[in-house]
Amino acid sequence: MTTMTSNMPETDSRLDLQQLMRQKYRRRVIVGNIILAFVMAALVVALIPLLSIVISVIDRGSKVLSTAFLTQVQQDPFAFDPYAIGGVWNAIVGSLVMDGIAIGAAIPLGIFSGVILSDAKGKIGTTIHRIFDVMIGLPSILFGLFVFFVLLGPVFNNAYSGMAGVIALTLMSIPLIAVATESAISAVPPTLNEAGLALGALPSRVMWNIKLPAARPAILTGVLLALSRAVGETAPVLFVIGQSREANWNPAAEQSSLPTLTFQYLQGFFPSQREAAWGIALILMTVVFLVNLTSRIISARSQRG
Amino acid sequence: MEMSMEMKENSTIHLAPVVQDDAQRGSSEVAMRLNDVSVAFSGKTVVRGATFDVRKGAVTAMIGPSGSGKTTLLRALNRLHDLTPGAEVKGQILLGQDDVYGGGIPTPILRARVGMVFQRPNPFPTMSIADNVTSGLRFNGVKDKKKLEEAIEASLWAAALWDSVKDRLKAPASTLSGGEQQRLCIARALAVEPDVLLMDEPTSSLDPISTQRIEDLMQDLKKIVTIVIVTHNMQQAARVSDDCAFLLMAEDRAGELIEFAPTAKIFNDPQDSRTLDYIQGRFG
Amino acid sequence: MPMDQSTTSTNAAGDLSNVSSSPKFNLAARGDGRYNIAMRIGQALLAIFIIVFFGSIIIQSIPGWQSAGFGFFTSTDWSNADFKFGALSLIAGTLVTTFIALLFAVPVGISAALSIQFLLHRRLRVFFSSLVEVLAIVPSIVFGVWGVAVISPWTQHTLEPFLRDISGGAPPFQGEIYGIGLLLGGLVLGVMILPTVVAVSRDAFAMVPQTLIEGAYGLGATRTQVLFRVALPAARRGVLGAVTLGTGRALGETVAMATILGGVTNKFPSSAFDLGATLASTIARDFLEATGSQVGALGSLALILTVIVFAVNYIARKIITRQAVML
Ligand SMILES: Nc1ncnc2c1ncn2[C@@H]1O[C@H](COP(=O)(O)OP(=O)(O)O)[C@@H](O)[C@H]1O
Ligand SMILES: [Mg+2]
Repeated sequence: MTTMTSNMPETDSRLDLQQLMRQKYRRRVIVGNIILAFVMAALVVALIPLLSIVISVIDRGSKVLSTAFLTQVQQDPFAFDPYAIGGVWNAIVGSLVMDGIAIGAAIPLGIFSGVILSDAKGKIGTTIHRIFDVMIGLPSILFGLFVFFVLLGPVFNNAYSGMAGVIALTLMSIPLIAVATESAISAVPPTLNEAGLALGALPSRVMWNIKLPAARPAILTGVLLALSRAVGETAPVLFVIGQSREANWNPAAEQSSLPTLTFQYLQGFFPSQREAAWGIALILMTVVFLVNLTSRIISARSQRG
Repeated sequence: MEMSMEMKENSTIHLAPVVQDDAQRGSSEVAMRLNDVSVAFSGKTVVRGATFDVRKGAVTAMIGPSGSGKTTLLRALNRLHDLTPGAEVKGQILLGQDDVYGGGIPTPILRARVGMVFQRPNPFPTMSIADNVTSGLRFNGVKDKKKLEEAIEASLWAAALWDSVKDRLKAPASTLSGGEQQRLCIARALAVEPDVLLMDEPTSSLDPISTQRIEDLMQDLKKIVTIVIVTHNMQQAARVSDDCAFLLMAEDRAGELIEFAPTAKIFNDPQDSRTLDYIQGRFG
Repeated sequence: MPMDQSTTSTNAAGDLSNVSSSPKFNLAARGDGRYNIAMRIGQALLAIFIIVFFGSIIIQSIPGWQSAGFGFFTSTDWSNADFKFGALSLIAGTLVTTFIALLFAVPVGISAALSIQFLLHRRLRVFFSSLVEVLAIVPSIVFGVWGVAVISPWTQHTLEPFLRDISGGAPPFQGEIYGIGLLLGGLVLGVMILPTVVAVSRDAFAMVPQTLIEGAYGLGATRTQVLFRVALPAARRGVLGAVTLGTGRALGETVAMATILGGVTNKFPSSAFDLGATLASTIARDFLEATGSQVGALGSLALILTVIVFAVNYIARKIITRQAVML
């Protein structure tokens, strides 16, 4: 070990220690690099399933996708051809109708709930707030059961109805949009609304004219997140919409949806049904991906501007 | 350099003082030598052409207005800019005989030899006081229990913290006051027995009493370690330092070394009119 | 609420001159009484919604408790044909699949988050974190399709024989291999919760103060040491929240589990290769065809599921911030 020539005596403990640390250095670098290699490998491991899903859905789904698949309704079980795949038009219509109405209803209700949450004070207010946060993570099947038990009898005369599915999806989306709205509102810089209040504006005006506009991009992100969930959800509507094989633009009729049809097909016996499931998976992935892309573009824009 | 263990045995405090000629205030030996050092971020030069020697056992202060590149230059000395993508250090920096950027010393080893105390106290929040002190040793592979125990006492002692924390070494570091946390960070840096200790405005977030204690402490510390301190407080530089480097932004906003001299000379008889302007408070 | 810019600005100008003392201020306060009332009513509506929602889950579970009694928790035999409703196998199936999922998702997810945050170049960091987050939006039914068709052949022909061979058929790697079952379910579940674990723990890592990281480097720490001895401990709360949130997701996952576990409801799991079922998957598979006391029994399952997931998510919510709950 080289030491500097010095007219000041070096303390020996310092040189001993520095030498010891140099001796230990090689080992800890090697051990550290091995650990780092594992850490990087974990990223690859995390990405493999993602790639596998995306590739297999595109690969096998695209073999199924055709004009007929998109425009014909599913096969009649009484005239069932086990080798034919049939179409999914009835499920497309059902999903469009139900998801559209559900999100349309969930946006005002969810935003209003979010405003209420942002105003919620005291013990009850905080409790409601907490429960809403937790409801986001509840299994969505509970919303389906809720509609089945509470509404299907009294409101729908025990008949399957797309509207029952709409209600389940709306209820599921409200906490999501509400919590997104609330956190977006609370993220508005206090100086903004203080300025408004100092000018004598009413709290309702400050909310409507200052806070909500400022929170708009984040609320929109929440709405799109809720939309992509609603599009892909099977469980909430599984028990309440029935299994319509007709394309029904009437939401109150018995309905079908893309995810529930997939679920049915996965429990079927015929390979053609499995194939059709891949086709629907591709449709679902495409829609959900486009919604997500939109949401990313919006939040990127709002961060820039 | 062979020394028997028995000789050290009776002393728990192994941060033995460097013998020092008081009249000289630091030796004429060079601890670090900066030769035409420049730092650029993404091609934009922030400090240019700094050349001066850090004398061993002395306190060298870097002063200058805010934005003149003091922190940037200081962080070049322990290669902290390696962490910043796009940062580039040019010129030569020697630590003793070793070229800091020459590849001879592995960077972690270099950083153990050139310790750093930051502008705000940054003890590791999840570690106890004792574990904070020994963290540097443990990072560097020192596991020997006895060594670590010794280092705790010696370093806390050297950082004038021992008496107030000796009964709560297992307490989380966050239970200390700001000034105590900063002294804990000093102890943590001292535990690996560095040659040089870099301090970036170590008192700027502290109250006057804590500031005073750290300034007093530095006078003791320079017996065991060479200190480079960045401060924008001229009185502090005058009080604590032996040598002084004055940096100032040039036209293109890159910091330049205007003058380097013993502190007394900088404050009493500066050679450059800009130094005079600065110490007389005409700008900055 | 009508938007009326002109009124607002007149109000504002008028009130500016005499904010605190004049009658106009009181007028303003009274004027917003309507807003306050709306908020009160809204809050009451939300409270009612919450009470009705959870109340109905409790009420519809009562018939199940009445018919099965305490045996509901002690019996492993759930068979629809015989109207026997012991939920123990289902509870065990839920816990086992979640455990396998965590075994995969926790180390992989935390390491992936560490490497995205600390080892990748800034551009790649954005790219990879978006890529992992794409997994979060894949509908769970798609995981079902993928699990059955792509992963199941792999578990059947590669993973499960391999595990049986190296363990010599010792528990929990013994018995018949079906390809589908608890192990497959757990792995797919692990993939499903991975984005949650990665995204939330990466957020936590991003919040670690730069000064701590520099402090560690400044003492001579290597990159690995900074990651594991400084960043990970400093972010431990957020990482714990990430794991808890992922656990909640795994416990409640429904349709994917309903398609890949095999739906065997009356066998207490003894091997990772066993077929099985979870609370949620059983509800999804059996509810539509349920009759008589079976409906009540499934209602009881729903209550157990609600209590467990609610508790886990409540803990997660206590640990981490609200924003992350949405991931
Ligand atoms: N990481 C960085 N990237 C880009 N510019 C930086 C970076 N760090 C510091 N700078 C710039 O370098 C200049 C000098 O900063 P600094 O060294 O902190 O000054 P001082 O410590 O003297 O106040 C400032 O203009 C600052 O904006
Ligand atoms: Mg500075």
